[in-house]
Amino acid sequence: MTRFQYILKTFAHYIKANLLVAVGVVISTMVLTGSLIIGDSVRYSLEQATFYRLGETTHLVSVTERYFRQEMADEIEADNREIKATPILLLEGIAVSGGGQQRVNKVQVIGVNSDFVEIAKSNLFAKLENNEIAISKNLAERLQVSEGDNILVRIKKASLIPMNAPFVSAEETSVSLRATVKNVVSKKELGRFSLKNSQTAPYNIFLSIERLNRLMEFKGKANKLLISTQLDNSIVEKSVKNCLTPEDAGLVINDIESTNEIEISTERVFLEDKISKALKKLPGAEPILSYFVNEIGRLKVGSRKSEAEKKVQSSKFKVQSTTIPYSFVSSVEDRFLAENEIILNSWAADDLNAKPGDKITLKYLEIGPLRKLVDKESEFILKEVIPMDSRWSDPTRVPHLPGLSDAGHCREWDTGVPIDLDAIRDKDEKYWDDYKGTPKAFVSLNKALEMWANRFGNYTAVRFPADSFDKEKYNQLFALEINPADLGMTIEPIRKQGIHAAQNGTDFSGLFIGMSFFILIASIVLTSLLFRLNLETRSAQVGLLSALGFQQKQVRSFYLIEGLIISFVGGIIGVIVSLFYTQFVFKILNSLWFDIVRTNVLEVKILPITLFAGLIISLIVSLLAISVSVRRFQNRKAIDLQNTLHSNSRKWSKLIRNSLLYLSLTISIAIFIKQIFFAEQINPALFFLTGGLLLFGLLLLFQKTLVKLESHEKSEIRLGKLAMLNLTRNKSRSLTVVILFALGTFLVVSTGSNKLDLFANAQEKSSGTGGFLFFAETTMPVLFDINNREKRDEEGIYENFEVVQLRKIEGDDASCLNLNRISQPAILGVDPGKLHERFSFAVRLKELGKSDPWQVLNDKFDDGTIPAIADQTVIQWGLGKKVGDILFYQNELGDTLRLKLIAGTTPSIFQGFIIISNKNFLENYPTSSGANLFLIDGKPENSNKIGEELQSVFRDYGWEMESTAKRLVEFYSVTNTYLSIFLALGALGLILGTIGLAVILARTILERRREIAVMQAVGFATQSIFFILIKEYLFLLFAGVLIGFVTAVVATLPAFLSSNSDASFSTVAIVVALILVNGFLWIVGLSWFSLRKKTLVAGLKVL
Amino acid sequence: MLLQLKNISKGYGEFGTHSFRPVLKELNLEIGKGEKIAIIGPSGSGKTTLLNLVGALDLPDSGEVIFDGKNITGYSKRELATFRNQHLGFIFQLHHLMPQLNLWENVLLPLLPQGNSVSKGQKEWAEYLINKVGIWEQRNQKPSEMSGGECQRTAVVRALINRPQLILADEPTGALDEENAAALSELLIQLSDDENITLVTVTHSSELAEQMDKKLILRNGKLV
Repeated sequence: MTRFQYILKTFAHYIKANLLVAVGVVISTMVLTGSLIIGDSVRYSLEQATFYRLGETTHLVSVTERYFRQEMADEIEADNREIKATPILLLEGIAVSGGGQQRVNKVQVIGVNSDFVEIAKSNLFAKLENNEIAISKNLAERLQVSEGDNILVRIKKASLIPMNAPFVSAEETSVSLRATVKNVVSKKELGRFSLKNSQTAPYNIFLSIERLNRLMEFKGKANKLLISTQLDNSIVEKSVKNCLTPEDAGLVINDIESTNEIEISTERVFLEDKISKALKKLPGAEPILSYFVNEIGRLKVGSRKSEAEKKVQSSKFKVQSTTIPYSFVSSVEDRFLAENEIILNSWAADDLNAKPGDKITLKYLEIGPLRKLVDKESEFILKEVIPMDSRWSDPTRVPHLPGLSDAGHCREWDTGVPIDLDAIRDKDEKYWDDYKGTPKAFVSLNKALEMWANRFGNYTAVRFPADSFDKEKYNQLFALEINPADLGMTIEPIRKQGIHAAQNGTDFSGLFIGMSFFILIASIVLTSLLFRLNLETRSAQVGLLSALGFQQKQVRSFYLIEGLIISFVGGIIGVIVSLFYTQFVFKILNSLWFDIVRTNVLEVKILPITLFAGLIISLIVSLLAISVSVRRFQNRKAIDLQNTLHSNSRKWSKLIRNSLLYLSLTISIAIFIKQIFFAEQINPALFFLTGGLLLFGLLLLFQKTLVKLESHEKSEIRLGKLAMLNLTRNKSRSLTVVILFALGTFLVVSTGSNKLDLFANAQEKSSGTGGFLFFAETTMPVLFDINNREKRDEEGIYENFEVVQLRKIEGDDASCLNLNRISQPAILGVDPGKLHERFSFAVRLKELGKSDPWQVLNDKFDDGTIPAIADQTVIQWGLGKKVGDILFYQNELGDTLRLKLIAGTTPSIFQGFIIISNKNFLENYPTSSGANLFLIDGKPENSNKIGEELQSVFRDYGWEMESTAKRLVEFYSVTNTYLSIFLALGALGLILGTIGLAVILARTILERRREIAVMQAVGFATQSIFFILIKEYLFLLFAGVLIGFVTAVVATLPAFLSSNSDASFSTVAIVVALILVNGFLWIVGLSWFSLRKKTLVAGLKVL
Repeated sequence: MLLQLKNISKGYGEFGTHSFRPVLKELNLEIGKGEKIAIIGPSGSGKTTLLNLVGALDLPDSGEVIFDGKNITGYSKRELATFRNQHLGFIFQLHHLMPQLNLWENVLLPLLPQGNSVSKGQKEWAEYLINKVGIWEQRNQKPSEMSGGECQRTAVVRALINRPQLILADEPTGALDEENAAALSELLIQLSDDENITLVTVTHSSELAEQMDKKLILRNGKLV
């Protein structure tokens, strides 16, 4: 016989007891390995979702609200043969079917050419002609259409000119297309095509890029390039830069024969700052700024209007006979004019009867965000009158403005600003017929810049003498000075980023291990406890082995190897069971817990390495639990033998325990009193700390009580006292039971209390809704101020409500609905004043003190960093950041935009976004068009009417609206689902704990058979013994649950006090009642079972 | 001289407090090689405590235990375990056989602390002893399949397997009927004589005590 044979024989002999121990290992392995598999599977599924949404795309070249030539793709391929480039035109739209019955907003409308076949690896996209479209499967399902059916697609109007630029007509925001569904595209055929990091499938419509160009009145334009290459991003960047031409920046060269000049202008009306700066470096450059003014007037002596009069006339211009309505005014070089001087052409001078030295006024509109019009006026002295054939009297000096430049008559003008048609005289029509937009007045360039420079640019053109202009040099200068980023062009390794986002997304392994925390603890404790009981039944063997000369180490190794065998058997079974457990969890994730994943792409992925890791980890954990049991058992044996030798160390441990007891109780009570009576603001974290410390302290107090009970004078003996004294027979067992129940109750009650009820105070401004009624988003931007009374009348809005309009720069969804790790969430621009004292803040920068974080949103840090606010949940979980951290973006101008998180709101409707001020937003994204996001404030009793009116007025904008409370609930359904899972697994752990209690109970009763038999023999009624037994264990059960309950209530008191929480004593009471009933049934059942008649006989036999 | 106990004191509870209970007081004892000694005394007089000290299962509060000229009270736990294995054999009132092992394996168990296998010589010795005590037929049986007498004889063989110099027996016949008790007493004496092994037994049995060379009475913590 060898030692190992001895161990095997021992294992086999005690197989039943050992298998019971293995149950604990099976559970811990199952939970642990299952959690790891869930993590792997979610990661794998997200990676797969990345491949499904990108196809063969590896890099993305992208611009927002501007367009480049499709040929750029061919040029890039020619520049580097290892790059495949596919141009697409990606726009947003609304899809409607069934005569408006089915409507889907926020649809991606993707113009593709035959190159897209390579990206999608599907021929479905090869022959989309005219009005033929391919749509994603989910869209087909939502619209209830199939191949051959017709649908209406309303597409956001793309414009080469920024939609909010001055004098651009905003009438047409969308274009409609009646299309035939040629194909329904599955995910394998790139039906889930999306450039955003999200597992949620987008709604897609594919059509020919040429058709889409025609619809937008473009020719050969694209806004994205899908790159497929193995090369590094820097090489792709280089190729893109090599192929970037002035045309891609929207620059146009005009040969102005009448003045023998070459003019560089832009399709975007205003030349962007970086471009004009570059152009000014060419020899002979003369920048021009032309503007459309409302009135040119001549001031007669004494005719200066009073300020009051001006105010009255502020919005509508009462043009008098001495004024000229609606004219272009252009700039000339500063050397010709002082800043207060003006030149008129002879037509204008005649019309005004003006002569040099007269005072001339210009009235014009400054066009602010959301087309907010501000009346402005400047005064000049007429320096000179120039003839109509002068070189400046040139209609090409003004930029091309669609709706204005191409109008046949003045009355057909569509300028994007209000025009008083009555003010237009016949002679003005005649001027338009004869001279079109030829400027009637000229001011110095500096004065023009002072009056009309705007966020879209400073100049409308730059002119050069024709003989000195060298196109080659112009192209070279462009290549040298302008980078893709200067045009807001981003070049990203999108596939790599997608995989990174998937791999670093929500860690479901960690989440499930965390949520299974108690079940893990319970199973580990159960393993340790059962093994200890196992050892105790063999305590005589330990003594014998010691007497036979086995070293303590050898004896320990016997038990540890036995434990290893048990762990291994349990581990293997646990790994097998974990496969079923994972399948089970995934089934629930795809149904009951769908809120936390929001995708049906989840697939179970089993990696052998994960199973192995799960097995090894659980082996280590179980072995650790077992070794603790063995060591404690051996130590106890040694202590039994050498009672006196340990008296000193016991004194020390007693001292430490007492110190910890008093310290934890004192600190917890002190914090509690301070928070309740003296703190200005309740701090949930401190309450949780108080609860935790109290739990620790009360458990130590319980242990101390057990010791006291044991050493107490035993002069008086009563049945009840007997039960209490029995508790001290095995103090560690009694304490284990109490710890298990206290911890379990603490976790379950505190988790249950933290469930949020976000409907509770939804109307309060400080709540997560900000006190707003509705949250709305549109597919097409709204370019005007909805609060403007005149605009409301125009649109037919009569209900009384206020709207906060927010601008938006698209980014990834950073809400908890997205499982990927996001680095650049969508940015919102808001007027911070409108959010003053709304919402609440969970965290804020120390420097802010108690000031309202919204108030400082308009400021900037010294280094140009912009303050930003986000939902704390987004900051912590979506971004993995904290308040004070900085987020980096590339703004529209190609510069790095640094956003410093200055505060995190408590759960709010802003989940998923980063909020900055409108002022800072427009500085960085000057050409962004209108508002896409709306917060509606009104009287709750009118909410239905307001909702209906808005839905009907903005229907064609793709208006999607929901009540703010509902939106909040949707977000926090994720949090609440997590808490539910935690609660469910916690309850499972408690049941496991109860089983542990039952095993201890059964074991103890077995050990006490003799004692029970003696009691029966001396005349105790079975009923009395039964009560003694149940009293003992009910005491432990109640003590554990009470300690756990009280401390959990203290820990989550803010949740109980908050009307925002779902915490109610009834919910918690039900949970606690279930725990108690469960424990009670086990205790009573087992005690009754063990006290049946046989006990006496069996016990006496033992005696 | 095989064993010498010098001024041995031992008590239980916390020394210096009212809970402290002295059991052995300044006890002295000398046992020669091959001697057979019975220790008798009333219950609670400290017989088992004395046996535990002699068997290096417990340590005295003061005094020395000298075995074959060596003071074992200073031994480490590891040395004590080796000492027990090499020099001592234990027989208890209850046989304490391993229920998971059969007779043959129970007998060989004390050989395992020395190495992970059993030599041919050791097996022959075990076979000789088992035959000698008359339980060879039961060698493959487990304790649950044997009678009390057979189990106790197995325990005797287990105590002899390492050829100890000293056998310590704590009420070896206490759990046996009269007939089996007499047979076991005879066997112990005979084996002690045959193998020249010193035998110290704690017993209430006057029959067994009478067969010993010396009979010592433990009273008030001292041998008289």
